Amino acid sequence: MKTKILIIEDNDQNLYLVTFLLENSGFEVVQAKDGPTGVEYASKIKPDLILLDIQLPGMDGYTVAKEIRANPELKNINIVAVTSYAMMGDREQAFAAGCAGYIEKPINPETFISQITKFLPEAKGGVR
Amino acid sequence: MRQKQLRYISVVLILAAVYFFSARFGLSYAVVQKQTTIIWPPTGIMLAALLFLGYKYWPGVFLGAFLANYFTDPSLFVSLGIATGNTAEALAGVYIFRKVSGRLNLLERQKDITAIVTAVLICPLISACNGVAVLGISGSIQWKDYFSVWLAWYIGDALSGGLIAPFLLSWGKKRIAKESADYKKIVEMVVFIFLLVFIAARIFSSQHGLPYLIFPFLIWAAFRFNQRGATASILIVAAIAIYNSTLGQGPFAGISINEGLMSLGVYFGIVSVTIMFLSAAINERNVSETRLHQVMDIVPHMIFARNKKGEFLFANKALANFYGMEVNDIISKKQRDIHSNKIEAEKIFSEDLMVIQSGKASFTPDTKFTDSTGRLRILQTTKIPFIDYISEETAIIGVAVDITDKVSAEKALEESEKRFRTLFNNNPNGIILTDPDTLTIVDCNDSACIMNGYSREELIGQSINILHPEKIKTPLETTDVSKTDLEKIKSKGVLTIESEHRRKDGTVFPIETSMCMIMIGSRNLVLGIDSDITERKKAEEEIRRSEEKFRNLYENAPIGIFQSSVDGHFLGINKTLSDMVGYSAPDSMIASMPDIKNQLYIYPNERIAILEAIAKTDKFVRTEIQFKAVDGRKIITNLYARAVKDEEGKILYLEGFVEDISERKASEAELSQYRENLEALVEIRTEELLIAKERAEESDRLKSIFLASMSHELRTPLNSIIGFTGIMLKGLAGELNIEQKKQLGFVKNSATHLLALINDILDISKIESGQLEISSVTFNARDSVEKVIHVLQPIADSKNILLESFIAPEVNHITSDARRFEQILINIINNAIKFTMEGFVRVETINRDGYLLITVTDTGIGIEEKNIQKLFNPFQQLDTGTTRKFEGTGLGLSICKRLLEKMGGQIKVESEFGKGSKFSFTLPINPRNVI
Repeated sequence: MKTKILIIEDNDQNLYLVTFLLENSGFEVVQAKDGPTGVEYASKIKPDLILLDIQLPGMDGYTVAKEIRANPELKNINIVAVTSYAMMGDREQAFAAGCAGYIEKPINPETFISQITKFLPEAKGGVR
Repeated sequence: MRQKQLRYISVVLILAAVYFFSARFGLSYAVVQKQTTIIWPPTGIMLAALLFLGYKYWPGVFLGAFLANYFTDPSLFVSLGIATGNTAEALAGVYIFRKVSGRLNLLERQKDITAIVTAVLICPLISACNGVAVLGISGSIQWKDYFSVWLAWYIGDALSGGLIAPFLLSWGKKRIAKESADYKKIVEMVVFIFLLVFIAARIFSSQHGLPYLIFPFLIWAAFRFNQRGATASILIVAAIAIYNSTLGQGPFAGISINEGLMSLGVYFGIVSVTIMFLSAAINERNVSETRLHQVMDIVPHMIFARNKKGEFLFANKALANFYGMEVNDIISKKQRDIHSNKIEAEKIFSEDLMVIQSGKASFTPDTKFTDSTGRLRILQTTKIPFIDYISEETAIIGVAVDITDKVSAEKALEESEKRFRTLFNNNPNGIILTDPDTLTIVDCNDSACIMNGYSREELIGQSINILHPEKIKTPLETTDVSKTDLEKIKSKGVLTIESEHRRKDGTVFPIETSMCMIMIGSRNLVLGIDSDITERKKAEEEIRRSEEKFRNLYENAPIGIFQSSVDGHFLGINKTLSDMVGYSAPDSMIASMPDIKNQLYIYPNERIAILEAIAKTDKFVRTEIQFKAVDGRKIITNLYARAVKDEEGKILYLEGFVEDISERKASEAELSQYRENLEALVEIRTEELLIAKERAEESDRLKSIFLASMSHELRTPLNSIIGFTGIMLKGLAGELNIEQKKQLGFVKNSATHLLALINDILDISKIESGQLEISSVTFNARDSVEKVIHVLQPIADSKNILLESFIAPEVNHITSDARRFEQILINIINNAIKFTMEGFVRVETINRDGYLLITVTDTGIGIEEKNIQKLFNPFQQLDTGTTRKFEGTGLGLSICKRLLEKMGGQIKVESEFGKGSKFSFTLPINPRNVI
C-alpha cells in the first residue's frame, strides 16, 4: 500500500508542482484546496502525512492544524507546514498550532522528498 | 549718817571705857607715883585699837586717859596734860607703825615687827616726857624723882605696847598661812599650855628661878603655834612673872617692887622682841611656802620633782590633773606606776636618769604623752638636776607645758593661712592690695603677677600707677585717676570700673576691677580684684557687630518685619513695612496705628483667626491677608506670624514677616489665563499627536504586512520557477538536451539568486525595523558546525577545495539562537569557499573565555586594506567591477554582523590581498553569565 500524503494548498501551480514531485517519488497524493476540505479529508482518509500551506482562503493553516490536532484519531499523523510565510514568528506559530515540520517555499526539488520523508511513520519509509 | 555718828560715838565711849578700866587696873600697881605705873595696859590696847579703827577715834583715847587720871588725882591740868600726851603717843605709834611697815595693821613679817618695836620704843618718849613735865609743873613730883618716874613711865608704856599691841594685832586679823587644827595639834597645845604655865610659875615664883629656861617654850610656841601662840605665850608668861614680882617673888624681885618690875620689863622687852621676830620669820616662811603652793597649784603647767627611782618628790595640781589624781596621792608614787602608757613611762624614766647622770638640764620641745583619759597630749618638758635635801641624792625637777592646744591652734592657723594663701594665689582674678595713702602695692596674688607680667617682688612697693598706661604716657599729669577712684570707693562701698592695664612688656589690655576698702590689722587697704576682659571685649564687639548685622538685615530686608501686641498695636516694625503701607517712617506708622485689626486689615476677623492659629503652635503660620494702604490701595500680602510665648505658654507678643505679593498676584492671574490657553493648545496638540502616533503605528503595521505580503507574493512565483526548473533539470518531466539543460540551469541560478536576495532583504529590513527576534535555547554547537560543514562539503568538493574542520573537545552546549548561528556559519564558510579558487578553507571551533570562537581561514583572493571597512555595509560586494563573477546578494556579511551583535557576539576579519582571509566570530556560551 502506497504512502498517502494529503496536500492542503490553494495555489494550483504549487499544488501541481508538489503533487508531481511526490507522485514521481511513488507517493499517493490527496489534494485539498482549502482549509475545511483539508480538515475533512484528513479525518476521512487518514493520510500518512499532511503538507499544509498556511495562507489559505476561508480558514488559515494554523486553524487547520489546530483542528486536525484536536481530533485524537489523527494524533499519529504529522503535519508539515509548507509555506512562503517567512515573517517573524511564522515558524513558531506553526509549531504551536501542531505542525511537526516547517518547509519554506520555494521548495527545492532536489531536497524536498528527503525533507518530508523524515516526518513519515517508520514503517512507511520512502520509496527510494 | 546719823547711824555712823552714833556708831562713832559709841566706839569712842567704848574705847574710853576700856582705857579707863585697864588704866585703873594698871594704876592699882602705881608705885612710883599715883599716875605712874609700870603696868599700863592702855598704851598697847589703844595702839592696837587705833591701828584697827583709824586715827579719827583718838577722842576715845583722850577721854579714857582724862577720866582715868582725873579719877586718880582730880587736877584738871594734870588730867588734861597727861591725856594729851598719851593721845599723842597713841597717834604717833599708829603713824610710825604704818610708816615703817607700810601696812595698816598687819603684824606678820619681820618688817612689821621692826615697825611695832620702833613705835613702842619711840612713842613712850612723848608720853613719858609729857607726863613727867606735867607732874613736875603741877608739883606732884619732886625733881629728884624726876628720872625714876620718867623711866617707869617709859618702860611701862613700852612694855605695854610691846606685849599687848602685838597680841591684839596678831589675834585681831585673819591669818594668811592657815594650819589645820587636828586633834594632835590640840593635844600638843594643851600639853604645851600646861607645861608653859607650870614652868613659868616655877621660874618666876622662885628667887633662884632661871629666866632663860622660858625660851625653849616660847620658841616652841613660835614654831608650832605661830604668832598668835607666840604673843599669847609671852603675855601669859609676862602676866605670871609680873604677878609674882608684885608679890616680891621670882628672879627679878629686887630692892623694891618697882625696880623688880623694871628689870622684868626690860627682860620681857627683849624676850618679846626676840620671839616676835622669830615667829614673824617663821610666819614669813610659812606664808611664802603657802603662797608658793598656791601659785604652783594655779600654774597651768605641770611642775614636779622625781628621784632616781622615779618616785615623785613633788607634784603640783596640773600634774595631778594630768594623771586624774590628787596631789597627795602622787607624792612618793613611782611615775611608771601611774603613767598609763608603759612605753612612754619608760622613756620618761630613762630621760630622768640621763639628766641625773649627766647633771645637765634637758629640754624636749614636743613629746606626745597619753593622759589619764587616754588622749595624746603634746608636752614641752624642761628638767634640771637638783640635790634633794632630804635624801641628799641627785633628783630632777621639771616643768612640763601642755602645748597640745597651742600646737593644734598653730597648725590650724598655719593650715588656715595656707588655705587662704592658696585661695588668694589661685584665684583666677588678679588681686591687688593697695595702700590708699601712698597708692603703693602692698600685696598681690599670682594671678595679678601673671596677668600683668611682673614678678611679685617687682610689684610690691610700686605705685599702682605702673599698671595704668595713661599714667605712663603723661607722668607729669597731676590728676590722679586712682585718687578719684578712692573717693568713689569710700562713698559707694564697692566700685567696679573698666580700665586698661599695661603689662611689663608694654602691651595694654582691658581690665575690669572691683575695689573696696578692707581692714587688715589696723591698716585700711584697697582691695582690688582684676579680671582680664580681653575675651569679653572681643565677644562684646562680636555681639555688637552681629547686632549691627541683624539690625541691617532687619532694616534692609525686602520683606516687612513686625512685632505686635496681642491687643493689636505695633511694638516695632521695619522701614520696609511702613513703606509698604505708605507711611513715611516706622515710628509714624506705629504711632498712628493703635488698632491694627481695624486700621490695617481689610477683613478684621482675619487677625482673630491668625491669633487663634498661632496660639496652637510655635511655628510661623502663613496666611494670605489683604491690608489697607494709607492711600486706600489694597495690598495683598503673605503674612507669616508666630507667637512668642513665655514658659507657661502665654503669648507675650507676635512677630512675623509681611511679604507684599500684590504684584505677584497680578502676574499669577495673568499667568493662570495663559495657562488655561496653553492647556487648550496642549489638548489639541495631544490629539494631533495621538493621531500621528496611531498613524505611525498603523504605518508600522502596514509595513510588516507589506513585508509579509512581499515575501509571500515574491516567493509564490519563485516556488513555481525553482520547482519546475528543478523538476525539468532532474529529467522528471522528460529528457532534455545539453543546450536546454544549460539554459534551464541559468534560469534556476537566477531564480535562486533572486530568492537569496529576497531573503536577505527581508532579514535586513527585519533587523532595521527591530522586528528580528533572537531565541535563546540551549543546543549543541558541535552538532551545528558539523551539520553546516556537511551541507557545504559538496560545494567545496565541486571546486576542488579542501574543507577542513577542527572542533575542540570542550566545544559542547551553547545557549543561543541555533538557526541564526547556523545561518551565520553557512554564510561565512560559503563566502570563504566562494572566494577561494584553490587551496583550502579551514574552520576552527574552540571555547575561549566563555565564548565560542569560530575562525574560518581561506586561501582565497583576500581583501584590500581599503575595503575591509566597507566589508560589512549592505550591498557592498567588493570587486564590483567584475560583478557576477561571484554570486551573492552582498548583504550576507552585513546581516551576519548585525545578527552577531544582537546575539552578544562580534565578528572581525584579517586579510592579505591575494593570499587569503581569516574571518572569526564569537558567541557567548551562556549570555546570562557574560552580560
